[in-house]
Amino acid sequence: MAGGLLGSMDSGWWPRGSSSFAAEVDGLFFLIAVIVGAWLLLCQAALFFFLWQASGRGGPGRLRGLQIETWSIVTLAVAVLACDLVVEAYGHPIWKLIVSAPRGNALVVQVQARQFVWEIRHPGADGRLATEDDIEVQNELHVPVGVPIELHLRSKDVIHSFFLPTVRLKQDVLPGVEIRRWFLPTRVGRFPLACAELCGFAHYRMGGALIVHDPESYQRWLAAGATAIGGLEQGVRR
Amino acid sequence: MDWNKAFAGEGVEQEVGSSSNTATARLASARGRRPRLWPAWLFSTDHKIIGLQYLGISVVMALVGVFGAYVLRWQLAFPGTPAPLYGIVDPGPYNAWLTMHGTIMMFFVAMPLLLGAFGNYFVPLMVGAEDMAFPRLNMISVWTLGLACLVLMASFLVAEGPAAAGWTNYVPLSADPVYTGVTLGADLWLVAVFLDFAAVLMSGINVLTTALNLRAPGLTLPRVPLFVWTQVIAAVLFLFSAGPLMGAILMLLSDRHLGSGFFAAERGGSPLLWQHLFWFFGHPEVYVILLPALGIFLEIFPTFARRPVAAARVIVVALWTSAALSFVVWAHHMFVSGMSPALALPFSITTIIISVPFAVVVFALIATLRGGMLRPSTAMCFAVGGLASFLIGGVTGIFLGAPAVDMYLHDTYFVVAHFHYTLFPAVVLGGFAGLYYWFPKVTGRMLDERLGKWHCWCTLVAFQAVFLPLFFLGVHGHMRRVYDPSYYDFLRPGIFLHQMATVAAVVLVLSQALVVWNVIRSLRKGEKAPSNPWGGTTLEWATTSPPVPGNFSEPVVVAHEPYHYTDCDRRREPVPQWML
Repeated sequence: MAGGLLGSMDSGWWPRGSSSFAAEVDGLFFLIAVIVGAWLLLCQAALFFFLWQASGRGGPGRLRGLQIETWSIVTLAVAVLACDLVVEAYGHPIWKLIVSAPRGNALVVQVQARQFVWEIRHPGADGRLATEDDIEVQNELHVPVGVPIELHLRSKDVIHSFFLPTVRLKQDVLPGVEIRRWFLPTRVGRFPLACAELCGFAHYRMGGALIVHDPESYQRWLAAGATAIGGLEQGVRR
Repeated sequence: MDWNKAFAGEGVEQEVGSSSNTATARLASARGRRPRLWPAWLFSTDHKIIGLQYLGISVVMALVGVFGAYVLRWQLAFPGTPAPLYGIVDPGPYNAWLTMHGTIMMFFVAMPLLLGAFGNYFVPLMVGAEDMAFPRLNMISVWTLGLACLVLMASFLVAEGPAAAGWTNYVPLSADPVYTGVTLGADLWLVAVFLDFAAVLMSGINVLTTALNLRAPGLTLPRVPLFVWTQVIAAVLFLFSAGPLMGAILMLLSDRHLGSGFFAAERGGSPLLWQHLFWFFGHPEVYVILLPALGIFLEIFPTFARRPVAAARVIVVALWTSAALSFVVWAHHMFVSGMSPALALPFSITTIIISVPFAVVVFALIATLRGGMLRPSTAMCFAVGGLASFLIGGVTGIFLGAPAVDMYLHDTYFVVAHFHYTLFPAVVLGGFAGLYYWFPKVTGRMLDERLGKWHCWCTLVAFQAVFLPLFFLGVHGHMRRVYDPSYYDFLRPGIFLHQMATVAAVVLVLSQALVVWNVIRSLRKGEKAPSNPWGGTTLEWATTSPPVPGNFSEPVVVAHEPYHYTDCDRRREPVPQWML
């Protein structure tokens, strides 16, 4: 079933990652899938085997080995604990990587959420925020490929959640606090941006796009943004 | 009697008066009417009647909750088209329905059913007591719950409708009417949940006191049946966890009406504080619901497998361990909330480790079938189906306990699928397992097993078809609580899965007609139930079906641990606890 579903989607059911840490996150997902998948199969197999055995005519006769049974249960539980620790040990460095500060010189972009718009302030040609050539766009995050992006996330009203599925990044945005997250876009293209926290009646329309430019088109966008900001302010769906 | 006759001024139906000896019937006949049972029923302090009142409340509320689910599922599968029996679903009402669905199912169906109905009815019976420790408190508890239900339902009638900030009621969305457009409905939500918790607290105090102080002679703690243990642990969990959220509710009411700023960033408060208080309650709450359901499975498995529960004492230790751990895992609901990322490590470790005590319980349940002599029954069908489904819910929790993966899957349909795979097996499959197991005891009638098996298989298959597709939507990145998924290009390919889930959900609801018909039919002309139809070993099977007033016609004395079966001549006969 899973294979059929994966194959039926032209773009792939599991969205292909578009950031430097997406592969690590996906790897952790599949590691967990293998571990818990094995346990799940083992448990279901044991459940239905014993069920089949117990429903046999006449039954298996005397019940023996209750002491061993208890010890087996405890031993298996310890094995579960060991698997848990493997997941934790493998997963924690990935989490630390995602929530750490970006390495190298990051391009800072300010994201301000309000009901039901993402107001995104990009640095202009000077590469710095809070200067005259800042480019403000609604619902579109424009970034150059291969450059670390640092997001400064804020909310004007309620809690929103800034979600870039292909980047594997999700961060709630709170009123009164600025939260910083980073990512490194690795693929050029247009990717979904969504609000993932219920924020009111039009929550479902608080979508937008992450647009990753190659260096050339990024320069073109910067130039166009400096002269015709109004034209870009329309806020593009999705 | 005489003055009553004169007062009524009507002829007395002598035959009624003479044939019935209950006080109600005498009173009613004196007034020249047919006997009215409802005042006696309504004002009863008998734990069995109160248990049935809880059952009634949870069934009525479940109808509302299920209707809400239907409205939501229709809109997701066929966005913008009018839902039969409802009409066009607008975004505002959609958010209200998703809020009410969650609230009703968690607080007004799951807890009243598993704690209120099953706990009230069977804890006193299983410990050999004649009633709860505080019968009048028990009555006040169910009344308080009824009041809470009325308050919650009233919010459907007020202007702007019910609360629409999700069952988690996050601030600031729920704190200020400008954000949702809901004013009175949000206050009614807070009051209703507060009252609901007060009711469950009273019930919990009763269960705890009864199980500790009113046990029959010989029923030492190691001999207490596992279902009673799960009820005791659930009561303890609720007693320790409800306070913070009840306090938070008062703080939020104060923020809304008295101008305080506990949760308002612009007044020096913190919106995250609500989330901490909510989830400090919220995670133990999950186990408050889950443990009694596991308790039902733990009673049914040995009875129908005809052997003792494997590692029964280790199970009790595991249940207490999971209860203790459940107080230190709450922030796994908040990995991406904006709390310090450094907190993710300790909470992730505790979260992932809590799988160990549950693994013990699951392994023990599975091992309880080993070397058994299965008596197939509907109760067992639901219990095995419930365990097999719960396993899927359990293991998918590991994905969400790893913060790096949770960052992607948080607030997606993966979470929705995961918790429905834990709660549906617990509440619905566990509830039905309990119903088919204990119906003969409660009513004195047997249910039809053939209809029951059909009901079980239809429910199990339809349930998988509703919720398995949601895992696929979740890994595709589909956010939950989205009114119209077709708004996003990347979600449009998933709509066929929504449609599949919705069709299956309708089948799931319709197949419940089988149990309704089965219950009605059995109540009217079902086979009479003996006192111990399944060969159970615990004390509720020692009394008649239904139990006499006061539960036991002669005092019971407990001789040994439960779940004993003779093991000779290739036969397994029960050795009940009361048998010396």
